[in-house]
Amino acid sequence: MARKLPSVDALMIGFGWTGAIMAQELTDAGLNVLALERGAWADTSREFATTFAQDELRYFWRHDLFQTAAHDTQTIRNDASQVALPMRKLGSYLPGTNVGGAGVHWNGQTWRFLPSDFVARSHNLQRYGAGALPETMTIQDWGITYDELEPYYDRFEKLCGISGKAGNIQGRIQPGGNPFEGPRANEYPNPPMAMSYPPTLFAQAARDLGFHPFPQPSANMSQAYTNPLGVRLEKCTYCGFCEKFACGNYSKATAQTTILPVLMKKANFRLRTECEVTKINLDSSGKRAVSVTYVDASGEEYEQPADLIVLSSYILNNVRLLLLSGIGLPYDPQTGQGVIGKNYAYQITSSVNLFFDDKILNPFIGAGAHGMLVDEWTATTSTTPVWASSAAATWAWCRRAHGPSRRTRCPRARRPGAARSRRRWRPTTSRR
Amino acid sequence: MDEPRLSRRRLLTAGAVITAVPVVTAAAAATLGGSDVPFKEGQANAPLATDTGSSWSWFTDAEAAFVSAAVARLIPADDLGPGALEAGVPTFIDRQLAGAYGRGERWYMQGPWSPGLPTQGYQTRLTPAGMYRAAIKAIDAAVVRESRGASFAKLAAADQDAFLHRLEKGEVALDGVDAKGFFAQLLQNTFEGFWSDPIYGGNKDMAGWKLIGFPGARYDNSEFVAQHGQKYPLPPVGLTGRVEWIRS
Repeated sequence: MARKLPSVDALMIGFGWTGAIMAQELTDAGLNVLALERGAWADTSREFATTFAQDELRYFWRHDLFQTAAHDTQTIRNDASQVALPMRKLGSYLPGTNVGGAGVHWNGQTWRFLPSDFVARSHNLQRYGAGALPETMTIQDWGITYDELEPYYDRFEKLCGISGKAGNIQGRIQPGGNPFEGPRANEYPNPPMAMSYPPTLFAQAARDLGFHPFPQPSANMSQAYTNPLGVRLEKCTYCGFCEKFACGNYSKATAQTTILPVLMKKANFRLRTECEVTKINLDSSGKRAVSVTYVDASGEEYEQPADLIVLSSYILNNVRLLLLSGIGLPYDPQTGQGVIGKNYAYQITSSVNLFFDDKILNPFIGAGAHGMLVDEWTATTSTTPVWASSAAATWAWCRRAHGPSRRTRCPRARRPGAARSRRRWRPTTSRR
Repeated sequence: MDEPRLSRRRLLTAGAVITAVPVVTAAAAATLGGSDVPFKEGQANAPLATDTGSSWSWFTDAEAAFVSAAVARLIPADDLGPGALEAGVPTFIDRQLAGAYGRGERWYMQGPWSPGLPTQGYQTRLTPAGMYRAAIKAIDAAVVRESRGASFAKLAAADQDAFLHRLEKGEVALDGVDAKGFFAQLLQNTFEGFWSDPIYGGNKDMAGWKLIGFPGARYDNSEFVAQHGQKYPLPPVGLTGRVEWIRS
């Protein structure tokens, strides 16, 4: 039998970005907050130090910061007619583990949605006509608008010290920013990052074509920054070890570098690590969540009551926990009924590699959220819906590459394979 | 942000003193400085020299012969410098397969088992180490079956190239192993070995990094980010430093 513990006011299931932000807010409001994290404690000085953080094999290829499929995985099928099979190793999406979650190894690309993204269904019907949306497209309006969310975007950007250049401040278009973004109350808290050569070339070419290139909004610091909680982040050193790496330099906004130094000291906050929630328990009416069941590292089972229970792990784990707990109506793709598990979407990005024989690009200099972007095709008026035209799908982006074995590319004519000269890898080769 | 690095160095070198002179440091506080530095310059922090190994951890001699021959064709030595063989890639792969990666420890390797569809990803029971073992055996058997020679390693370079091309396209039937999948795995591991930090046994003398002009485990490029089109001036450095730092 699970041992029943004293109740808390609020409980976080998972302690990454979401859990840390919610815990910070709710403890400020005076509640007693407990966070349960499946992984272990992790902090910059001990786990991500600059003496070993730049280890491409350990972090990029061997996935040291991610959830292990051996511990917990999902099953995969492409449509309901197939038999779902286990995902045996991680692939396109990389759920984090330990305190800070995937926020530890993110790149720091910090976009706001466009105002039209919040009303994706009605916006597209209005723009392209009633017949424009295919029947099978389950796209919906979010039920919340850009204007409602703007103050929270602003607050998050200040918490993280986002580097960038506003394109629209209170309706006034700003040169150098993205003129197609929604109106912002304020400029970014930090100026854009210094640009390396490849994005600079891209931006010049885009400008020459009449487009409006702007710097990638970035949670990598363009300068040292102290956030509203009094936590200091340091200037990014453009080492290039961001995606799939933790930052040893306190230069990437994460829960660790923005919130935890304040939150962990609060008397009304507690974190229990290596505790995995297996079920959310409901009261006798089945309408109200009253506690969670969790297992600690030694296999002991506990019941932890709470007045407020927050699902703050990755969306797939949140959904699975809801399904296992019998909460909500599961989505049925045949009937379209139900909402639990509906409309999961993951990022899809395509890329083109460019090679320059006449330029030294030093593509290893950069950061995870560092580059120049063009957003014309998302936002400008077009007579064709974006999903119906392969040429008008999205923004274009130029960023520097990663380390050597991560993104070393070569022209097709010099492709790896037997009997090819190693000349395919040139010191000046550019990527993306 | 040099603080953690300096602290670590001090900690490590303090440890070295204790080991060297246990009687003196047993109780007393020490005053350090001047000529009395707690480390020997160029020695206390000497990086590990790349050790290409005198014996194999996982490979049999026949497997080592295959991998050595194959990686030498995937990244051959030429006038630009050493290839994968000279850079220790077989040692790298051998050590990887002998460890957690080779055992697939991070992978979900329980049932249900089914071949699945290509879009459902990796669905074989083979760990990486098991795949190498099965594939190399099947490849050498195919070489014999096709009357090409005694083993892949003994073929002429041009014949090895032709065989690797067929593997890559899945044109060789291998008993119990997907040829295309194995080729992709071998190529991936070859890249990893050629370009990962030398502590893992490959990229000897940072040959892979020198070839493409990558400066290694450096942590501060602030000075160079806006120097557009300029050659990066610093030599590569690994997680444990550079071989040049060892004073002979």
